[in-house]
Amino acid sequence: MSGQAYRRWICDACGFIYDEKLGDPDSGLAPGTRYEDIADDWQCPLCGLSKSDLRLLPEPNPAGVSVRTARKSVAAKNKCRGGPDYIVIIGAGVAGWSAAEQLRKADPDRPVLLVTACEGLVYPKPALSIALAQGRQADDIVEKNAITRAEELGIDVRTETRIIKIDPLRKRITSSKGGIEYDTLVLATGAHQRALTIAGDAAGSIMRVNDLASYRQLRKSLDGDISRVMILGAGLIGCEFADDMIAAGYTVSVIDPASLPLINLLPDSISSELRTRLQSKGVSWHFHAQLQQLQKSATGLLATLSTGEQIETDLVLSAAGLIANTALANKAGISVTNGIAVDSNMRTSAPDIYALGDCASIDGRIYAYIEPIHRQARAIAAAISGGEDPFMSTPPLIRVKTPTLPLSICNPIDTDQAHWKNIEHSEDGCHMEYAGKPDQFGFILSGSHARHGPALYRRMMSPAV
Amino acid sequence: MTDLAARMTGESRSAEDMLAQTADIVAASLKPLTVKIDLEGYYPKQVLQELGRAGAFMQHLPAVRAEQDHDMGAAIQAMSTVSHECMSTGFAMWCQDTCAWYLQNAANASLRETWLPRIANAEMLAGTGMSNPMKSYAGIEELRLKGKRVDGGYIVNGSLPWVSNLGDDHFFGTLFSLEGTQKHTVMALVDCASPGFSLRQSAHFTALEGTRTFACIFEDVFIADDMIIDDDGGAFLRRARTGIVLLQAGMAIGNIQSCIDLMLDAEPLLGHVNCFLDDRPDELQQDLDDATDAVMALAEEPFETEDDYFREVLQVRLNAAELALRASQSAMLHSGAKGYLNQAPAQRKLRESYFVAIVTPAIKHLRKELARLNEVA
Repeated sequence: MSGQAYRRWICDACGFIYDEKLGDPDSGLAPGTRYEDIADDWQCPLCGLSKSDLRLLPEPNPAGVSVRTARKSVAAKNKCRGGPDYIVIIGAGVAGWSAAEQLRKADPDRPVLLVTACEGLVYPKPALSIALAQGRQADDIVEKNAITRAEELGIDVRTETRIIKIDPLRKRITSSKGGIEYDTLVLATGAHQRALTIAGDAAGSIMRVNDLASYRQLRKSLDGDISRVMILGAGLIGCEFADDMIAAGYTVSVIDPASLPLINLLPDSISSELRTRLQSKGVSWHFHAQLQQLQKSATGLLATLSTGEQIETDLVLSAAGLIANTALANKAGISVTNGIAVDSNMRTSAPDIYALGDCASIDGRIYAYIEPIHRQARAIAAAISGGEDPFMSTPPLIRVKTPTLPLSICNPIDTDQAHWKNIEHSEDGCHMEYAGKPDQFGFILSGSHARHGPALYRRMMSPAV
Repeated sequence: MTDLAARMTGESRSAEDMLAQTADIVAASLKPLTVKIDLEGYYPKQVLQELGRAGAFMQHLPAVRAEQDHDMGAAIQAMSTVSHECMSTGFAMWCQDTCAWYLQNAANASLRETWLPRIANAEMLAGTGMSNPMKSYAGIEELRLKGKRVDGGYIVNGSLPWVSNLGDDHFFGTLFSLEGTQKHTVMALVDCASPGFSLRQSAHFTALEGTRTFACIFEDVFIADDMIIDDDGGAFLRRARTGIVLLQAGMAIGNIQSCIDLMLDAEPLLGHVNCFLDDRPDELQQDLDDATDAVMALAEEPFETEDDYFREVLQVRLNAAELALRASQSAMLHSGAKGYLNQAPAQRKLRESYFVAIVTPAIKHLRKELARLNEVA
């Protein structure tokens, strides 16, 4: 026994700790008295209970690092208040994290702080509209938490910190958790799904998904006892969700005021094909229509369309288009059009404030897709480090993740139906190119051709990109 | 000008005038009473009525203002000026302001017309028994008052611990659950002189004495329909919650600023040694200015009902409570033994700051509610 380390025992009733090393001299137990050698009539000096009420205390964590200490360092990381040399990024979507990566690449030493109202989880946003059929839960999509990603990049991060005000003159941000000082500010505040005005006692239940948190709520509802889903909007998000939900076994109806799906991105021939293919899988389309009223019914929800048609459903998901989050910029006196107005270096009208992603507008155009965000982040990093790598306002590469008919689209502005030329067309897809004005180019790849999109895009854009 | 505004006594004055008068009232009437309020539980009724006449309780109430606008920021500033001297009185102001806010947001227009002008000028003093309902909505405790529908009104039973700014001739707003329903609640204005209603003083507090804080006992109290603020309590609370919580910032800002001022007072004598302390006055002042900025920005839209906005309000309120604890701790350390005397401001500020941290919504309540809102975001 003598070579063994001393142990510690705790009284279950009062918390008194008997340390074998110290003994209990007041009760006549010399230092070094082992538990086994304590007399049976010994009494706890605090509460009077006996030896049998002592319980062995577990050894402290051998590494000597308690969970408390580990947590504390995380909290400290979440307290950075910027400084006069800081680049502060607002937003932790694809745009915010891309800006952080590019800024770090351009300058490994410059202090960077990313501030976000949400948890700041890193996840590929396009995965949200294909996860259901893949059997993945919302949190399976998450690649990293904010602290881990920030540590990898060597930047500071503050999560769950909402920005209330920007003061461009003092270069100071007011957050709900105190002030933050910056030298350069990058706005990556994203966008939100447009809210439609709909009547009825269930209008408040309409869901809108544009981030992981709202997607979690959607999945929670879908996991309930429901089978019928109505989607408002036959754009990219609406079509992707429709395909994902039909594949996962839900009954899906899609409502849109237009005449075909993806009408703003595709020539009618391909829109029609997408419509037919999804319809053959069971999607019920309702074009030239809008949802007017949504009411609770005995068996779920009753939707009344502008055409007078009534449809029973269990859940309504609105995907009626994105609206840039510009309120903060607007309040700070930064010039705002349909988004925060920026030049080709992604500079806003206020000194040392940049914007990118779904909140930024270049010549009135918002590039709300993944591919251009990376180029915008590069432009910002270059401009901040004194160089120049301007964002080219070329048409972005858009990938529509509808497994029923996958699409890769590079669609120039102001195309007209007549100038789309078939390059290749077969049972399992097509390849079309735009042959309009000589300085414009574009393509549409569908079905099995779609996977060649990125390569073709690089080829066509070179050396522009 | 609205009918209500026209009936308000005294001419409408600018926020600057009101704040200047508030400062005068604090210096002339309140300051001599501060220790008596704190240690003897003296209730500063005259001070509150003076503040009412100066317009301190009507800034956030479009219904009684000539321009039908609001200046929630000025209401908060007035409370802050008073709390800087005495937070008991500052808290009584919050009670008065908040009960008025309930009537401003009432679904029952005739109730508003009848009572709001008299509460807005503090002719009638009023409290708020909403701690339990707010905790109930946050899933912390059950509603303690239960009402039964009867002809012409409700019969209410139950009890509320610790409702402040009360007296036999006072009124207060509270919410009860409706018997025989799942979750239906009703918001009402209660007359303390109602038959079956009684006030009971049980405990004494470590600070905030002098706020006339009582347990409220309801024994078959009849509340007539014309005293119902809103028969949909849930919808009412959603409308009123932003203002209720934002107004509390007045107490926090006043308390923190007075702590900073105490530290600066100690500087000539103790600066050479106080510089070894954490949370020095300049750092705290920067933090307070930032927090005040946030409060004032949010106070521009007190009628906002969105969850996202309320989340910002809760975070700002939480930040203010945490800052008050830091500031008062630091004021105590900066003041040293002088601050430890039983009539010293520093030790009073310390006790008062704990009130900011535990009055509903308390720090733990705020963190729980923020966690819930993050989940449903």
